[in-house]
Amino acid sequence: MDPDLQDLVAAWMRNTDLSASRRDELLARLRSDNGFRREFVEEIQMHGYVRAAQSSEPRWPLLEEAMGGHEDGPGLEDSVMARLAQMPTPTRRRTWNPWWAVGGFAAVALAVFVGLGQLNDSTKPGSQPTRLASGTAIQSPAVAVLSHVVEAAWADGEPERQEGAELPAGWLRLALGTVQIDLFSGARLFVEGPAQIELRSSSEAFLLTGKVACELGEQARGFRLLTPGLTVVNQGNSFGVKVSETGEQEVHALEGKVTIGRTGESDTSQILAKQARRLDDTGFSETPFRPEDFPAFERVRERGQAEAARLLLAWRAAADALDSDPSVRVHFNFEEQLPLDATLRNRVRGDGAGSDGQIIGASWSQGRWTGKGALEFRGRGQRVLMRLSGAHASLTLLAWVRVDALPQPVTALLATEESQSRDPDEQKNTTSPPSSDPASGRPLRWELKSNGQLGFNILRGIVSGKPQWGSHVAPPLLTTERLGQWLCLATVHDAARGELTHFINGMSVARHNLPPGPPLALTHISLGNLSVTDAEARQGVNFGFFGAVDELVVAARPFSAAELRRYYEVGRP
Amino acid sequence: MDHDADALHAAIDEVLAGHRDAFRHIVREYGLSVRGFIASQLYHLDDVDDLAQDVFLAAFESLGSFRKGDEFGAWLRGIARNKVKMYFRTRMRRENAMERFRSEVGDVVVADLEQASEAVEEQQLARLLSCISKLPDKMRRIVQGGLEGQKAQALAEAMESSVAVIYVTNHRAHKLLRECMARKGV
Repeated sequence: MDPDLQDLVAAWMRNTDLSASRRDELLARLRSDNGFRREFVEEIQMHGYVRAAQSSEPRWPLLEEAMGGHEDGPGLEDSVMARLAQMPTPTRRRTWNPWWAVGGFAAVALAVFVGLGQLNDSTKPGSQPTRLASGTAIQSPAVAVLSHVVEAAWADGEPERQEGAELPAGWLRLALGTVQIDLFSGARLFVEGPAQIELRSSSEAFLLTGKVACELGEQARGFRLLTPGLTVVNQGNSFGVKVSETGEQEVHALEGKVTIGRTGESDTSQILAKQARRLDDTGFSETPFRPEDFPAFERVRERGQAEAARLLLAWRAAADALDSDPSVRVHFNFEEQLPLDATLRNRVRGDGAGSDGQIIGASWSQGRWTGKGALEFRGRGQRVLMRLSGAHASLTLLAWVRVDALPQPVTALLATEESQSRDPDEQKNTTSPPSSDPASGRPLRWELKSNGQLGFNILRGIVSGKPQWGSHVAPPLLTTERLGQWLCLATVHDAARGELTHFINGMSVARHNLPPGPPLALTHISLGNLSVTDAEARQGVNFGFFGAVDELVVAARPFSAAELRRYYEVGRP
Repeated sequence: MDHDADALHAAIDEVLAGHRDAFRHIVREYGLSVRGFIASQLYHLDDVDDLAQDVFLAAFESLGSFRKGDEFGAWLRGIARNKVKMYFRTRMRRENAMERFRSEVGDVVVADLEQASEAVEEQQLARLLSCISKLPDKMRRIVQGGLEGQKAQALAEAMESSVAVIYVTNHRAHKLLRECMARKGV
């Protein structure tokens, strides 16, 4: 048995403690060694199954309580049934969740495919995505922005909201952690989980359970926070409100005086700074002032920074491990570079590695975390040029990007610069694909469409001077609420399986069957833009990317779904 | 997993129509695999059982959002993953570096663990107890005893062996169990 595996299993089973350096060693191997990770997973998986199978009569304390005791302890089935007896019957979900919209958008995308395919052969998709589902996308106007998310987990069924997301009116159910919500009225809410809060408008919120601290400037006058029994009206000050699961409600005047009243009644009263009131069946009563019970801006910011530093370290370890993967040809991690650097360093060296990147116009900025570099693109002209020799049967492209806008029909993420094959004037009588030279391979374009589709196009040939692209797109998932957020985009071309799969944030979102064909070429690549032909220039065509990129990986093998999921998890901001 | 999709969909429809007793079918079908998935990652069996209950209650609440055609086991494991993540996060705040280490290990392997769980059929799980009973005596004792906490040390002492031998034997036993579970008619 591998000593590393034994140590890791022992540590996992709490049979031993490990030194910090030993922990780092094992984590690094776990991240980089697929075989080792598989063995460990098999070991803990079987251990879990054995434990579960052998404890077929587990102790279910809540059920014992519910049923007035049970001699042998009830099974899972009975315990779950006893607890759900107190719950309302579920109904088919109709609330908005951006990822459920995959299906709805996919249906629209399918219609677009079919429509465009009938109109224009050159944009006809090579194949249809195999995973389509039903659903309807509904978008409401935003009333707030989710400004900070610290160690947070959303309740089951809630969308996985990210920092920077716009929030429409509606419920937020936070299971754990703290979030900062900046309402468009100027009110700032710090919500600590577990909490259930409904944003009713930019100037009103309803707290069902949990703790909220409100910071209200002059601009936020008129903001109201309601609870099941209490209404707090803003007077330009700060206050904290908490509602327990059992219905106890308190309001604390953190700074300045606060006007409070019972919901549904017109009478109000004021409490002065550093005072608190508790509401129960008999009305308001004094209660000790405890500001430390509420999340505060400084504490949220400090915890956020500490979490970001921890995440950055974890990502760096995973990114370093990736560089030793012999299939990785290009890895720009945008680290250890200076603001005036005109060269983007490829972290992969040796045979087959791509070149460094030549930065044209793009400027350095902050990436996913403080201390992490990125390049910002502002559309026209800006790009990074690089070379990668050889032709590749299979390919994985992965990029962490922040898309700020999709103002034009097509935005280039990464594309082969093959101007000679894209200029009709130079290709008038060519009918064969440019892949007739196997060494050069087929050009490709990895791009975003204005409707939010991630696309991967492979040049099929030139007919009467016009390039014919096989287009393989994902449903339009990059919706407006995702603009400005960091996203992990990946596309895997698996020649052996004849498949092309798109991934967004570690999730497979579309799969296409591909006919066998010549390999792909990335000899001259452009990141963030694509040169236009003279004809396109005359029409004002622009492929420039608006946003930022803080990591790019090009690998000459298909990454598995688990690998991509894992790399997303370790890199999510 | 090899569940009867028609029976599952019928159960879901019944629950959504207000016949909550039909949820028993779902718990019965997926109970062991959900508990096994959680038990792979958590130490205390009480916590495993509590989280498994929470997973099924959350699934009941969100049942209306499950899309027919999706893999129900994967959907449940998604809920379980969230629960385990929250469990680790709450503990990370107050516990030591080893707890944080185990949490990081969990983050690294969870995708593989889910994928590995997909590959195990329910019938194979049903054969597990029978397979354990067919293990050689020494192996069976170790597998049945478990290695968590101080059990490995206690087993080593009871069997007049070393902890390293206990781990190696357990590792071999797991391989035999996988082979046995893969065989039909056990």
